[in-house]
Amino acid sequence: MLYRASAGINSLESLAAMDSPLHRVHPMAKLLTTLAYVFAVVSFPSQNVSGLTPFFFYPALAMPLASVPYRPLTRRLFAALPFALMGGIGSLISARETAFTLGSVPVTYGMLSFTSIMLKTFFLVFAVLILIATTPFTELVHQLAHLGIPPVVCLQFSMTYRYLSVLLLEASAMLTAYSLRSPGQNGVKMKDMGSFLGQLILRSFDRAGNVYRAMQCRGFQGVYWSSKNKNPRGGDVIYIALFLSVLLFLRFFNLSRFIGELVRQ
Amino acid sequence: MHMADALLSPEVGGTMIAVSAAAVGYAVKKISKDGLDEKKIPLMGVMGAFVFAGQMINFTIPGTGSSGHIGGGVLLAALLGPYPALIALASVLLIQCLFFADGGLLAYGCNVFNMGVCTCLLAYLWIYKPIARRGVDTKNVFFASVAAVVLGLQLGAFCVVLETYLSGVAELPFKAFLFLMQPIHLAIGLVEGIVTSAVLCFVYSARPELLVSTVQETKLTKGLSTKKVAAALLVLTALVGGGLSLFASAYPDGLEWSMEGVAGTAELERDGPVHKTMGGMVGVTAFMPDYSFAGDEEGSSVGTATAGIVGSVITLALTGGLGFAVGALRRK
Repeated sequence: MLYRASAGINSLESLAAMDSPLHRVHPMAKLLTTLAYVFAVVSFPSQNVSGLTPFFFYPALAMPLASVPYRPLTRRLFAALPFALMGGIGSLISARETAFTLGSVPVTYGMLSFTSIMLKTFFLVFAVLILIATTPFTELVHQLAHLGIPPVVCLQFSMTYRYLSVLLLEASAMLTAYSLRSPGQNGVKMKDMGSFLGQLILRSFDRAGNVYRAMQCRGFQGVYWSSKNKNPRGGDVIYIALFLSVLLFLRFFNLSRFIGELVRQ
Repeated sequence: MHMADALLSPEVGGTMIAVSAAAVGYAVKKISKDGLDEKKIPLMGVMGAFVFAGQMINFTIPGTGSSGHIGGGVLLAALLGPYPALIALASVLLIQCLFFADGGLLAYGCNVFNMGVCTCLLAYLWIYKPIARRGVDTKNVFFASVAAVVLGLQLGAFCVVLETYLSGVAELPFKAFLFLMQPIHLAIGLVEGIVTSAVLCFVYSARPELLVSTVQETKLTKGLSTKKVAAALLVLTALVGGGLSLFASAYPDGLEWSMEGVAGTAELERDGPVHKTMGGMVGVTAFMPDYSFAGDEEGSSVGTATAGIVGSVITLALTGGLGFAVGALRRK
């Protein structure tokens, strides 16, 4: 699990290092449009399903445009499911009044809520993953600093990210050693957790000391400088304008109903 | 306990982002005022990564057949102090949200509050620190960490229920949800508290100065008690939440209000040539617009619903097909 998490971060990092039209869009443009997309999707009433479906446009177009494979992202979708499923199933159970019947099948308000929650989960998880699969994390943090997030917090984001794989591998090695000494057992025994995590903490403290000394050797004085500073281009402005126009159109015009009415007539 | 975007309303999500931003801002101010030790920056980063790794190590709970993992908020606060711990935990939550889809961008404020502010600030300052200040020893560290973890988790779970209920996206009855969440998190809290105390006792036996210095270091600024900080956060929640709710109730949708400002109408004009040609479609009820059907005639709502479903399936197929075409073109 620890090794898989480390590999997962590395795979997203390598995806972010690729080149595609979406990768070339300015990180700030992608950050702002993703936030706008999240707000637009979330702002839909809980039982509005048809208005929501056209928002599939973003994952459907962005994934092939950025040449991002579905599988690594789909796997992460499962992490978001438990809480959403709890809300969805809760709605199914508690809102049992019939909204309408399709033929002889009654459709309850709970079913509509469930579908809407699941669609929202899918769209929102993919929106965030597309952002991180097309933008290096360090560049995103750089943009957060431009948005006024304090430098200490931005530095903390970068440092945690940088040492994540190191600590994951360290913990993974410890876990392997533990498993080899306790065959046929899943996980660490609760009574051993104190010394297991305690050892990891002491190692982390020592590592932090080494990291600090290495940073000092490279002239670190409390601020982490980044040389990259991409300026937005005309194309980035067009991307933002186009994206926001589509969002506004889909938010206030029910495209699915319109197409459905066309077909019905 | 990570909340997901899909169950949040923009008002609740926005309010909690503002509240958590204020709490993190306060933490930044505190550590800057206390003179941020440069050495603490890599320590915070590495310890943030430690919490991330620590959360992935499952331990077996004796007699239950189930497993658990640490949350890390109280542990971080005991080792780093409450303010650096909050910032470290906020970065862990951001990475979990971006890379592992644990939580969401809109839910980020809720998650920082429920898992960071409730544990690193409130539980640590209200429970852990007063007990540990009596004297850092194994007994006090044990009781302080178990009590702080239990209270932190109870507070966090209550906030999850409240935020979900106030959002109104999932139709979960408040009482039932509360009675489900609190006892479960009491049991989780007890187990996590015992493990946290075991970890802290181990660290205390190996490097006692790490725990002692943190308890002595985090002196509260005179005239600024934790009660005042908590009250300020509460007032901020009420102000931002109230403001956003008023905004939402006066204008059913903030986006519609913005739209009205931009286009002079809350709905996109539908009397263009295309819509005139499609006569009769103007004003047709959306598939569940604002929770109800508007059709009066018998069967009209079913017709509209059918249109909604058929349209949704076609829209999904069209966008999916378009995506497939783009992918095929890119591969060429």
